[in-house]
Amino acid sequence: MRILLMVKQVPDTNTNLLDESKFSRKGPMVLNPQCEYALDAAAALKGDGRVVAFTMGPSKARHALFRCLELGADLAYHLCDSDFAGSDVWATANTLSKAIMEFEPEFDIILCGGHAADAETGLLPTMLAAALGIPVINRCRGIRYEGGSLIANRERNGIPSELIVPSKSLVSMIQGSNVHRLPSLKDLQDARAKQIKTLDRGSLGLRKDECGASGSFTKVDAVFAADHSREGIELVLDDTDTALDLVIDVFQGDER
Amino acid sequence: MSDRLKVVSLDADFNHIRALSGDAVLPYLQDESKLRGSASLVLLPKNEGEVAAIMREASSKGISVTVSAHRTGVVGGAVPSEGWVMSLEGIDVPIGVGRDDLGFYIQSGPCLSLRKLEDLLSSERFDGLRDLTSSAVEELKGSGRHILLVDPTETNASLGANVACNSSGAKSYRYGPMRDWVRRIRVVLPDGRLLDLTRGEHRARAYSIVIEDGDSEKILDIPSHRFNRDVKNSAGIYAEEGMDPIDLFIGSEGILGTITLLELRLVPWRRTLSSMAFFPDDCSAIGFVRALRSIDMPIDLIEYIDSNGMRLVLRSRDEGSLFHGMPDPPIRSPSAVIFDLPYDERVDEFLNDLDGLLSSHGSSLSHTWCAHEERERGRFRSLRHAVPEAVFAYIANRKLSHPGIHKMGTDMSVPQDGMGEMLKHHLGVLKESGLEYVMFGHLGDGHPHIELLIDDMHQFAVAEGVLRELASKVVELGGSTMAEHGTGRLKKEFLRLMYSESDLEEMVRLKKALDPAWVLNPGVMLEAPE
Repeated sequence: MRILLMVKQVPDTNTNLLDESKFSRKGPMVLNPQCEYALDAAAALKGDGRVVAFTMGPSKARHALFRCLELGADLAYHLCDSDFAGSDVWATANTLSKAIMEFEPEFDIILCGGHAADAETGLLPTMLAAALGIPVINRCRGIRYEGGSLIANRERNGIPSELIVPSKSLVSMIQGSNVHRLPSLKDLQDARAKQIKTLDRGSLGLRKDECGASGSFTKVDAVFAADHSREGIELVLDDTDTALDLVIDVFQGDER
Repeated sequence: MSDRLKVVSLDADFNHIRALSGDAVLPYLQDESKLRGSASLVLLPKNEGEVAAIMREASSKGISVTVSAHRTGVVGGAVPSEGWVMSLEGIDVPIGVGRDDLGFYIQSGPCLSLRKLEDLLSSERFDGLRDLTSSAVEELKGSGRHILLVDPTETNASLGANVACNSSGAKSYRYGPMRDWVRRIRVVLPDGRLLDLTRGEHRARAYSIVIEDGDSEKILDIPSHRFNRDVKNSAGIYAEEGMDPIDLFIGSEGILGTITLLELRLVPWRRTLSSMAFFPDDCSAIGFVRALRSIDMPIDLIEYIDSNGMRLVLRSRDEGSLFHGMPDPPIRSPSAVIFDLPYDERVDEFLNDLDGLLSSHGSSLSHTWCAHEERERGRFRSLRHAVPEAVFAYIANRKLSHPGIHKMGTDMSVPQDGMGEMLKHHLGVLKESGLEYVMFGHLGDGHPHIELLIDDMHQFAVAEGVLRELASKVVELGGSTMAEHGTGRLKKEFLRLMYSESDLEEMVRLKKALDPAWVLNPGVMLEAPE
C-alpha cells in the first residue's frame, strides 16, 4: 500500500504552550500526538508498501519527520521556506497539495492527525482533501485492511460505525492503539540512512501570493488561554455522610 | 580564604507564622519510607526570617523541630518523632540568575522542586527572576537552554532536600553528586542565627572553623574521620582536613542547619540519546554493564533493572495501577539496562560499537528502545523510576494489613572491583532468605538498589537480618551502606558499621556545638547523647 502521511511538529503540550500572545516555539517540540496515531496506522497498514511523510515548518520540524522515519516511514519531505511563514490552514493545505501532486501523485491513502495540539482548528484534513479533490473521512479511531478493503472506525454521539474507505482518499485519526511505540536503536540506525528531502516554494512552483501569510485568508491576531476558573465556596457540614452525598451530587452534575 | 564564618541575626515575629494543628498535621507525619511519626504542630514559614524565628523559639524552649519539604525521602528524615514540623513548602520560588567564571547559576528558595526547575529552564522564560550579576537573565535567555546536570530520580523532591542529602541519581556516574554543583547556600542554624556560605570563600584551619557573632566567637571542631569518597557515599557528616565549611551542611541531612536559599550551577543543554536494552537474563545484562563501562564511550549513566523488577513493573501495568501505555518489551521476562549517550555527529559510530557489544551479551540493536526527543526521554525517565514506584505501591498496599511494615531496601555502593563479589554474595543471601526482591538502579556506579517485597511482620523481621548481612559485606568491600538516600531515621544502625564509636562521638560533638538543645531534626542520622 502506498501511504502518504501528513504530520506537524507542535510544542510539547506538557509544557507551557503560550508565550505572551503566540504559541511558544522555545520549549521542547514534538510530533503532534494525533499525528502519532496516523503514523501508527500507517505503519500497521504498510505491509510491503511504502510510507512517505510530509511536513511544513521551520528547520527544526525535521525532527518530527525523523520520528516518522524511525517508526515506519520510508521517505520524508520537508516543506521549508521563509515564504511559507504565516500560512493559515488554507495556505498550508494548498502548499501540501502542490507537494503531493508534484512529488508523490501516486498513492492509495493519505493519513493525518485529526487536529494539531497547537492551532486546534481540525480543518486541515478537509481542506487538503478539497485541494486534492479526493474524499475525506474525519475523526477515525482505527483503520484496518480486511477482505481487500480498507475499513475505518468512527464514533459519533456514542454510536460506532464502520466505513469502507474508497481508494485514494484522506483519513484523519483521533485515536490510536494507546500502546506507545518506541523505536529501537536499529530503527534509529535505519532512519539515519533514509532521506528527508527539502522542498522550497520554487520547487513547488508556487507564487509568493499563493502561500505563507500572503496566500492566507486568515491571520492569527493573538492566542490566549481561556480562564475557566470559578469562585469557590466553602461549606461547613455537620457530618461526613452529608458531605459525601454533596460531593457525589456535584460530580453527577447537581451544582446546587 | 578565611576560617572564620560570620553569623547574623534576623528579625521576624514567631507569633505571626502560619500554623496547622489537629487533623491538618496528619499529612506531615509520613514520607515515602512509609514510617509514621507524631507532631503537635506544623509551622509554615514564608521566608528565611520566619525560619529563624521558629528555630529561636524552639531552641529556647527545647522543642524538637523536624524540617519537612515534599516528603519524598525514603529513610524517614522528614518524619517527626515529637514536637513541631517546620514545612518549607512556602519558600519555593526561583529568585534569580547569575553568571561567573564557571558559567550560569540559579538562585532559589529551598522548596522549589527539581521538576519545577526543569520546567523553568526548558521554557527559557525567566520573567520575574532577578539579575544577580549584570544582565545575567538576558544573557541566559540568549545562551540557549541550560540544565542542572545532576538529576536525582525523584523530580518532586525539593532542591533544598537534594542539597541537604547530597543526592546524586543516575548521572553521578559521570558528573558526581549534588555537592559538586552547589555554589552557595544560606543556612539558619539551630539557634536561629544565619550563615551565608559561598563555595571557595572559606576554608577550615585543619579541623576547625571559627564562628563569629559580633564580639563573641566559637570554635567548631570538624570530625576527623575519613569520609569515603571512593564510592557514592552519603553516610555521616562530610569531613576533611582544611575543608570548605559549605560541605559540612551539604549532605548532613539538615541536622546542623536548615537551608533557606541555594545557588546551583547550570550547564548548557545538549541533545541526548537514551536507550533501554533488554537481555534474556540478569547475568547477560550485568555482563553488558561491565563491558559498557570498559569501552571508550562518553556515557552519562548506566542503570539496571533485573528480571524481577521488570516483572513487577509489567504486573503493575497489567493490573492497571501504573505505567499505562507502556509497550511490551521485545524480549519475554527480560532484564534491562538503560544508558545515555550524547546525540551528536558520533551517533553512527556509537551504534556500530553497540551493535557488537549487545550481540555478544544475548541482545541486539533491535532488542532496545531508544529516545532522543525530550518528551520521549521524559518517558524513559519515568521508566527508570518505574521500579521504585511499583515497590512503594506494593509496600503501601501491604501496610494496610500490617501497619508495622515500612520500605526495606538497600542504598549501598561498592568500588567497581568489588562489584562481582558483592553481587555474588547478595544474591546468595537473598536466595537463602526466601524473600522476594527486586534489584535496580545505578549498577554502573557500583550502586544497585535492592528492595525487599515484604508481605508480613515475619518477613519484615527476616528482612532486617538480611539487610544487616548485606551491609556488613558492603563495608568489608570498602563501600558505603548509604550511597545517596542518607541515613535518616531508618539506617542509623548501618552508620555504626561504617564509623567507629569515637567517629560518631565527634559527629555528635559537632552537632551539639551547633545545637546544644538538640532540637533540630532529632533522631535523624545521630542519636542524642545520653
